[in-house]
Amino acid sequence: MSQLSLSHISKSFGDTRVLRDIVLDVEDGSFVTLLGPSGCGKTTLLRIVAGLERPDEGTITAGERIFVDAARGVFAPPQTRRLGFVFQDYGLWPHMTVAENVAFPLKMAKAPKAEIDKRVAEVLAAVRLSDQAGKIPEKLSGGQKQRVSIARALAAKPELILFDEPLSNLDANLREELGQEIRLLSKELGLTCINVTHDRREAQILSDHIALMKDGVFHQLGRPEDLFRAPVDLWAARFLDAGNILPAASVRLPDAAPDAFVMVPRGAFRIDGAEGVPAQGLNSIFLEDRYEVTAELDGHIVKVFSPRFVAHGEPIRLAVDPGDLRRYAAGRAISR
Amino acid sequence: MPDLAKTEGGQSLRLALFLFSTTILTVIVGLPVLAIVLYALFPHFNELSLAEPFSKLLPSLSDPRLIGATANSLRLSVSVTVLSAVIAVPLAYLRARIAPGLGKAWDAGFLIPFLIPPYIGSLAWMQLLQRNGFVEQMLGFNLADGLYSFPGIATVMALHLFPLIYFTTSRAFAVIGTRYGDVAKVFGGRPLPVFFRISLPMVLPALLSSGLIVFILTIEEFGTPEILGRRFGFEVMVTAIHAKFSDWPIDLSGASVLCLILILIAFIAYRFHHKMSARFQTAIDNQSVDARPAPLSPPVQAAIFAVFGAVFVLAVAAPVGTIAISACMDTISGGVTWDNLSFRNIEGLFDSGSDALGAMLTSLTLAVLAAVLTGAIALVVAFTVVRLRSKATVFLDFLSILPNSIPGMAVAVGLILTWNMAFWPVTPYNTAAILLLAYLCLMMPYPVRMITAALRQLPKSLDDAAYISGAGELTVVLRILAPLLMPSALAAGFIVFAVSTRELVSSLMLAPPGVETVATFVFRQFDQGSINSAMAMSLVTIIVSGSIIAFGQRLQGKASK
Repeated sequence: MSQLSLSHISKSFGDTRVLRDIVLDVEDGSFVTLLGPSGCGKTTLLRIVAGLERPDEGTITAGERIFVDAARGVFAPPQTRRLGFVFQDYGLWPHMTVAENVAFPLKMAKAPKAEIDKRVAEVLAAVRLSDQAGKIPEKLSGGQKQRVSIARALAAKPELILFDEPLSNLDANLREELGQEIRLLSKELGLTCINVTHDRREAQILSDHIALMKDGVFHQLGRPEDLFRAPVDLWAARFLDAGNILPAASVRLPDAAPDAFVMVPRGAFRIDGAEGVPAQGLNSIFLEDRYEVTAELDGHIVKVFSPRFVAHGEPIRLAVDPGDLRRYAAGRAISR
Repeated sequence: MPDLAKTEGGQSLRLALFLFSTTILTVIVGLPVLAIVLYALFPHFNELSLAEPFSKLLPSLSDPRLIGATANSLRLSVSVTVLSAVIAVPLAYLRARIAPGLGKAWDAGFLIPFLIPPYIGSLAWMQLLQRNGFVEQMLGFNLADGLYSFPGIATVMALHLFPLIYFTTSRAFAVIGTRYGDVAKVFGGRPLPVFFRISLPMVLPALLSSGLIVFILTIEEFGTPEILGRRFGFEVMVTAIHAKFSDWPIDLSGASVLCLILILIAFIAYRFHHKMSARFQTAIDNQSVDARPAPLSPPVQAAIFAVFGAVFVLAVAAPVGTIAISACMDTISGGVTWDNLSFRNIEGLFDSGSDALGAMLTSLTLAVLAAVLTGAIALVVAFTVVRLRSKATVFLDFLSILPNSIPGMAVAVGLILTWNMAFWPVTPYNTAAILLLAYLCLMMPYPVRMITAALRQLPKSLDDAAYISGAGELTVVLRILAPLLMPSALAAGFIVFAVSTRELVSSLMLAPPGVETVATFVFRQFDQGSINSAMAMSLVTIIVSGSIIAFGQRLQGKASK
């Protein structure tokens, strides 16, 4: 057990404070995603864990090992931290073959030649690239390049692997597929992983836990289902795109304060009931087993899952159970 | 350099590299410039005294000879720039309208002037137009009076430099001319208004930026004004500086004032050029060449062909032919006849123990050393500037590009002023080592620019991935970056080698007695009347350095792909 612990990490670039007092414990074998808009400090935090940046304050420990202790001036350079890193732009060395790229961390660790060959074959098999070992990275597709990058990160059997937007350079289908693969691999090998992304879908695919970041602090921390079901405030609800955000009055909530808002998940609306608020259909998109209907409700655009097609201009009624919506007053969530 | 220590993964090697490259560049580039400034301000600086500061500055500035030379320099540079543009812009405009194959052939032809060192070109024009020159032998008249005049010098220099403007503007016309021109035609524009209102304004930044390069090269040029101007008492700044060193009493502070003015003019022009080319880059961003112009009628095609042909004959065929024929003539007095032609002069250059062979060996050695050393220094500088990116490296970046705007003459003067000082325990002055220093300074921008550009293309994640894989600083530099930068370094090396072999002005100023380079050999042989051996050496230089430059450029093209 070598739990990764970050405590009171702060970092400024010039006058800009990019990280403020970050505290995070990553359990062994769990997959944590730092999710947030650009400029929220998530990449800086990842690079601090890797040793590519130095924090101004705070400590990072991995089990018994100390990565950083800013107060005591302790700093382990990245080459001593024994971790894996998967880069957004792959970071593959163009003058080396796939096998040489993967072998590099092992060579740096001065592993014997026979062991290097065996391990390279192993990890390339794990990412299903055994037949590409002799190629140079330029000849590979984007997905294959990212697999090589993952294989290289796995090669030296690190306990911790860091991912910097690993899926963002890939197209949608590949993204889903490779994301699932990464998740599976991490579970099979019992890896501890930290991932950084601005893409909520990527976070959903990969994570056991999500740390939603805003302006250099953790805004909300929890399991994916906690975050998406109960965003802590309207900003989080909007960023996560967790549901429709409407003034409470527009869904006829009886006890609504004037500044009260509600968040209604797309699946919470019932369509075609006798009661409900009158609305007008605008557009219907067919998804695998249902329609996503865009409708106008009281001057607001809402998205609703519907079992049937709704034509443009068709009058409908939208009903919602008070138990299915989240209430917000003055921007913050209020408990039911 | 406070933030260097904090640079991440930041270790002692980084600091060592930074200190190493800063020290080297300060010695090679910084000291000569500093010396010029100090001598200009403190005329007794060679006695290590700061007495009578500025006492020479004002008298020098009001010296009629200095004012005359400065005015001549500016007049000449402006005239050459305008004349080059007058030759180049119509050609560049027509270039986009002729068949692509033919256009490529003319492009190849107009590359040739780059391969002829300007002093050799001037010598060729003299051979051609002087009294009893080739033209008189063939046609019965000479144009010596025309050649030895202000318009003559300006024309010779413009014929040599116009390809710079031609290539830049024809690329600009190709990218924007047809595309936006077609748009204008769709909206009813007629050809002439389209040219003046659409094409010309859009290529103007490209035209200005290349024009400024022509301006800088003209104001820095020593060979042509010295060779042609001397014959009718025409003095520019660079030749005036030369005179201050060769005429008694030697006037060090006067020379440094002139150098300072020269550097300032070149520096301002260079900054301006930089702005202009950046503006052109953004103006044409993301435009592709798609439309092909409509084919032209045969008479128009013939007329365009004649225009290109005439310029080619004047700028390329005449000087190159003259050099080749003179190099192969047994005696100049024998005239251009078959019996008088042989390869004897060229073979004579390679006779063992000859001055020519010695000069070639000297140039070869210096050029190889300059290529290897500038390449190695540039690798370190590029790594420091691009990867450390701290405030401290701004100065380093500035130093490495500074020689771009320092004329060769100023570098030579700066080196003399620096290493002539009494307090150095050892000095390269009066040895061949000072030539090497001069070449290092003059050539430094080529490899720095090429390697820095290549390094900027390499994503930072390549370094980071190696650090995380357990590699230290040195391993990253040696196993990751150096192999990836090798093609660019090699290409830069070839260009430095070739340009070094033909460098005239600093060689002439700095070569110690008894040491000749190829360029000084040509210059002196011509002065002494051994025109055939000067031309034979010129021909060898053009062919050797020309093919190496072409090879280097090819390598660079491949490396940047």
